Amino acid sequence: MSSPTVFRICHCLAPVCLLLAGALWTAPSLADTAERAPARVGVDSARAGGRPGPRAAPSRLRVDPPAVELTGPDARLGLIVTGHGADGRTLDLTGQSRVNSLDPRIVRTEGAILIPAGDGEAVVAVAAGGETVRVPVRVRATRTPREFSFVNDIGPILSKAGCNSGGCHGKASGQNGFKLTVFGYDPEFDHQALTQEGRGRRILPGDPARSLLLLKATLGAPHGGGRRFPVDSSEYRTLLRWIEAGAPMGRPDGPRLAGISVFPTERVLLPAGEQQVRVTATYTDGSRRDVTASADFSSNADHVATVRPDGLIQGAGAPGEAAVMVRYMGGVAATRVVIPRPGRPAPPERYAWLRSGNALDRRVAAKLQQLGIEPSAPADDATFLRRVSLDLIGTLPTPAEARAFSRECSAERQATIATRDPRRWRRSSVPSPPNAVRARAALVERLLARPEYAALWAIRWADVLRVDREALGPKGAYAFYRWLRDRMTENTPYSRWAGDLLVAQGSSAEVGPANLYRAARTPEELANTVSQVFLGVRLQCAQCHHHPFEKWTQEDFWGVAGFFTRLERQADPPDSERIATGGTEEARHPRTGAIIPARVLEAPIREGRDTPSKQGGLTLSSSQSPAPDTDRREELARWLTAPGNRFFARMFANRLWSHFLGRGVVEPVDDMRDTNPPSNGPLLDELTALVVRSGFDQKAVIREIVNSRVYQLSAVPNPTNLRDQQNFSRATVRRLPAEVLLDAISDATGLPAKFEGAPSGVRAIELWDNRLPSYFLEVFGRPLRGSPCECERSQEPSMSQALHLMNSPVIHDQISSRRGRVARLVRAGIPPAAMVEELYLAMLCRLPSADERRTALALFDKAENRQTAGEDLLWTLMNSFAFIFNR
Amino acid sequence: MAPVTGGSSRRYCDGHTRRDLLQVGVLSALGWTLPDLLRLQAASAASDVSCIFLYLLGGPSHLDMWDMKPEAPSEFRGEFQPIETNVPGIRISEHLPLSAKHAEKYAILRSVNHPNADHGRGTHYMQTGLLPAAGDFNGKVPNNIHPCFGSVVAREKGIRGSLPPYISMPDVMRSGSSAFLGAAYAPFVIQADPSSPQFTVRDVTPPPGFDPRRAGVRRELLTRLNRQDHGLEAANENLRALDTFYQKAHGLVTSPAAKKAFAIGQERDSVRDAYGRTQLGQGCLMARRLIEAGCRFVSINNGNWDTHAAGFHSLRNDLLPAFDRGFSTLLADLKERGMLDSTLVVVSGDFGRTPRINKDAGRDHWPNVFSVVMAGGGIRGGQVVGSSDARGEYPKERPLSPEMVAATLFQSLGINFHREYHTPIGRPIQIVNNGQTISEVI
Repeated sequence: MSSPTVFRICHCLAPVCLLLAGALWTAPSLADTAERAPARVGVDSARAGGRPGPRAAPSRLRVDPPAVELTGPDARLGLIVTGHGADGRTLDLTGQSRVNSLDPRIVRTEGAILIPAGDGEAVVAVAAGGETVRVPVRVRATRTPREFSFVNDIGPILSKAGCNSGGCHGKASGQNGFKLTVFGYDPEFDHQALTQEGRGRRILPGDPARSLLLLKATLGAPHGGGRRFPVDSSEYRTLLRWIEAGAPMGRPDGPRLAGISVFPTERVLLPAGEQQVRVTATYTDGSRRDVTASADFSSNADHVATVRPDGLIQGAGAPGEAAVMVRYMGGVAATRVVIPRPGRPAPPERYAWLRSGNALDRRVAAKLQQLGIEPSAPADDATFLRRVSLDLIGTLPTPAEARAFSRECSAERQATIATRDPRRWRRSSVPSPPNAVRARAALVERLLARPEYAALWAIRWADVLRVDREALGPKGAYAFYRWLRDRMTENTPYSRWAGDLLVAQGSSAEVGPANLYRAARTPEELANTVSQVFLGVRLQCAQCHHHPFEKWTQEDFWGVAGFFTRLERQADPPDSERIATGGTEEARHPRTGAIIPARVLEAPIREGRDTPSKQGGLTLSSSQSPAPDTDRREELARWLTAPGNRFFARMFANRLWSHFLGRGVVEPVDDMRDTNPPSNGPLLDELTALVVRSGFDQKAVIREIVNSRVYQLSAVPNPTNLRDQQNFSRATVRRLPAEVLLDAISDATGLPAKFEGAPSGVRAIELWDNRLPSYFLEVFGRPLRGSPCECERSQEPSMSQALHLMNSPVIHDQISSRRGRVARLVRAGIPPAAMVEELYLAMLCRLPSADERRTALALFDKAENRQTAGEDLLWTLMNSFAFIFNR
Repeated sequence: MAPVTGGSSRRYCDGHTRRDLLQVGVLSALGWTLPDLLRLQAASAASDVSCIFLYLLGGPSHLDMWDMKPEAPSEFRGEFQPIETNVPGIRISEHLPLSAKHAEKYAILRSVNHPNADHGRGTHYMQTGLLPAAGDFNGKVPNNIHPCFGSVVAREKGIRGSLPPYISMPDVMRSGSSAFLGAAYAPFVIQADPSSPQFTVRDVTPPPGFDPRRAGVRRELLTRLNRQDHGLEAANENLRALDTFYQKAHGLVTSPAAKKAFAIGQERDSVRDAYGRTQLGQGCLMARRLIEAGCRFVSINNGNWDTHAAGFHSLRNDLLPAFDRGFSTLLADLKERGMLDSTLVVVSGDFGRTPRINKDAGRDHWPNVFSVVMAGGGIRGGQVVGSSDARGEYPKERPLSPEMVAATLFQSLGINFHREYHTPIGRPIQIVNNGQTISEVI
């Protein structure tokens, strides 16, 4: 069963490499770089903002590396030239510097790249900004014929040119009879394909330049993929020489890639600034190589900074932070660029209110200050009430609750003002009047104790744990849902329930968590689901090949899958199953068939892994051997939920943060990679520490988040944070989730929605059955729970949604029903002004402004009767942004 | 495959730049919601091809419709005889006499095949171009794993006029939605049978009896209320998006063209009769009206083609006459209105039916070879592509995959089917995996 899956996934893999590889790769000429895009350094904007530009300040020139050694005829090294301003800022001058070899017989230059010419020592002069730095260069072994390695020398060229991408020859079926392994995961196969297949025409050692490989790639022969590099490019020359050398595979014990590094690893740029980076590969024999030309680059925040295929990072205009991911032959590295907002920094007191909150607030404030982004104003009480109610219990407060909260806040505020030195809070950015901190905290406590809290959170966990009635059957889905909801009600520590879930066994109708093993049935699916939900690690790619964005290998994937190979599912009619441990299955490498022992992520691989031990090759991170009847999952659960697990607590922290702030510190929320770093590392560290310190107490962490000042900021942007998307400088506006919106409409109209097959009066957030027919829930994005991804729940708007809210006869009946809110108000003889207030409070949790009140009352004056006017007002509020969105 | 251009723009085999790809994929949800849908609406007009996707749910019998085997033993050939069409050499079932007069308009693909005999996966394959693997789903029927044709069309070509770009009727198939492309590209579902006298389209008009003057009052009030949130809109894409969708929705509700398109009752009786007063016939008529009013992709899901028992009876008396009348009138009507060149019509289904007749005088599921018919939209009609063997069991010449059908559909609509999307885990996937067009027809 696994093998067709493997193939489908692989062959639909279109080119990840191709994303970053180029159609036409010319040598990474930095001179060319400078010519095409004269380095815009943002000096002007810095000046305009009144800040001394880097050029204005005397700068010191630094060249990295300060001394160079080039070994072998194909060696290459790109210098990085940096100006250091007196103000501590740096400026990349690589593209504008003049680099001259004082002895071209020893070393040549192409822009800032040094190329060996002959053995010996020489000096290269680097001049920029009126300063000159001399770099000593030693060149060796230029006459020693190069010893080629297919893996180290040829594979990278095929990858960067996109030859082995999933859209071209990397497809499972190859392309026009020529197949390479996708991303080059099987070099032996690729070498064979080039040298042995195709009737030997791909490589012609007797006439290397007529090799089909070179002709096709340079369009010397018709090629569906077009020209990948020109004749006489460095790629071309390397391939040619390799063929001349007999197209060898290379020594099996030759040096292998040990890792890659990038220089510089962190830089502060101006909004339109640039930074060239250099990527260095290190091999197992200790040798190093500049592989910038063959590396792939991508930015995780294109609105902040983009990166060119030659490794030149360019500011894109928005202030913020971007991580540039670098990949080379399975090695990954990342470099960070921080781009502060140009112009005069805001006075520190603009951050004072935020900074004087809790530890989370301090982390956010520090980042905002670094970036020159000012936080929005604090949200008012009514906004906070609506926001926190929807976020915590998915339910709107009643008008009575809204009134009571408003009273509490006013009382506290009066008391605060009375006791406070007015000079202090008037002077700074402290909100005026100050927040009702105690009233807000008390509200949070009340909400955390409400049963709707558990219902709302059960939905969220049921989404990612795939509690799908269709897959699990009604009994299984109900049992699993109920179990999750009980965990939320009891506030069971996350680490405990996650551990219990992993080792669950028994009848799926009775043991709720056992259904995890039915929601995901195969070791592969379980590896994917468990790693994505609990670790934020997306392992799927590594099922068939080395993960293109990460260090995960197939051994890592199948190592995790190996914990789930010994499970049995016995039918337990009519629609349940009994989950038990048993069997002798092992995870096997899909290509080699070798047994891969169960192994947690980042555990060392045990040598001799092809010979399983008596216990079945379980690799334990502890030293003791398991008893023969050990449930392997217990070991996994222990490792997974340990406080020291660097993924588990972070993922939980990030998921909770994202629920309340509308965006994870790492985004997407469940894609935690070294190459997808958090937008605010200290913030995520703080949250993670909080999780661990609290003993994985979900309510405790939530309490800290919603009582923070950053959560209580207004959504209204200011000029400095309008473009900010990742630093939590203002509240995010989020559409209400399908179930929450439906309940909000029921509450607003005063008439509960009906669900076919569910008891009347049940709220949408309490439904355990995700397949209950409901056009409303479908059209507003209720997920089918087919994957462990948070993203399955759609929050995007659509035209069908707008039409439904505008015209749905069901909602129309709710609005105009004789038992509805409007009719009840009319019957009770409530005057128009009070009706308007009541509707505003019920739906927006606030009183109307004077203008809104006038407009609404005019409606009552003109309308046939109060019923009609009330219905029209309710319809209007229900269709407004203020209602549909949480803000 | 488009030639690769050189230079620094770095285009790929499919003509897209690296920047396009990154924006679609790695940037996640923000990168690919509504703006494309709206931005693209102004795109090309002249060669703007739309599609009517007539899906015969359950799997229509190739042997009793398009691929007759009169020479086969009686337990295979069935009860029907072939008849000549207006194109010499092309013969189809005697129960498609009206369609037989229009054979110059359509191409019969007789060698389509795939490996899956269950409805869920077969339907997913035929409606999206992707065969879900067992690991992709867990229920009995796969969810929508890959965006269906209509959703891709909505995403790639955007809104035209006041109608939603992708409309499905009388309901939506589970495979017939937007998968990871999100709600913005899901179909607008007309949950009603256009042949019913009570036919109305959901949500496009205020509820019956509602005073239209109040709609104006409400809208004015709403505009006023939302105006206060302009500050928020500037910083929030989803807010802007919903605002735009409200404008579109309002445009639809008040558009005379849309109103007219939905009001099938205003069509002349003679026209309605010509299409046949069946769900399929009126569905075809409705589809033509929707395309005329600006919709880009209409899918008609017509049921009861899963003819396991008494198949010949229901084909003869019910299914084939209704299909024949609806399909042939649709082609003639499109032609007469000068819309055929700009409207692709595809007749498809889950799979074919077992060549060997079962004990219940029906046929069971058979994906190993079956027929798909394509007409209009630049398709070269009057021909048969591929063939099945003597008993209609397996392809004999030119086997055609569902991917090829999908690629040809997109080609006709001017959509680059090599384009890559990114699934939620960041896996790049082409609109049609490994797609190749059927060169004989396009």
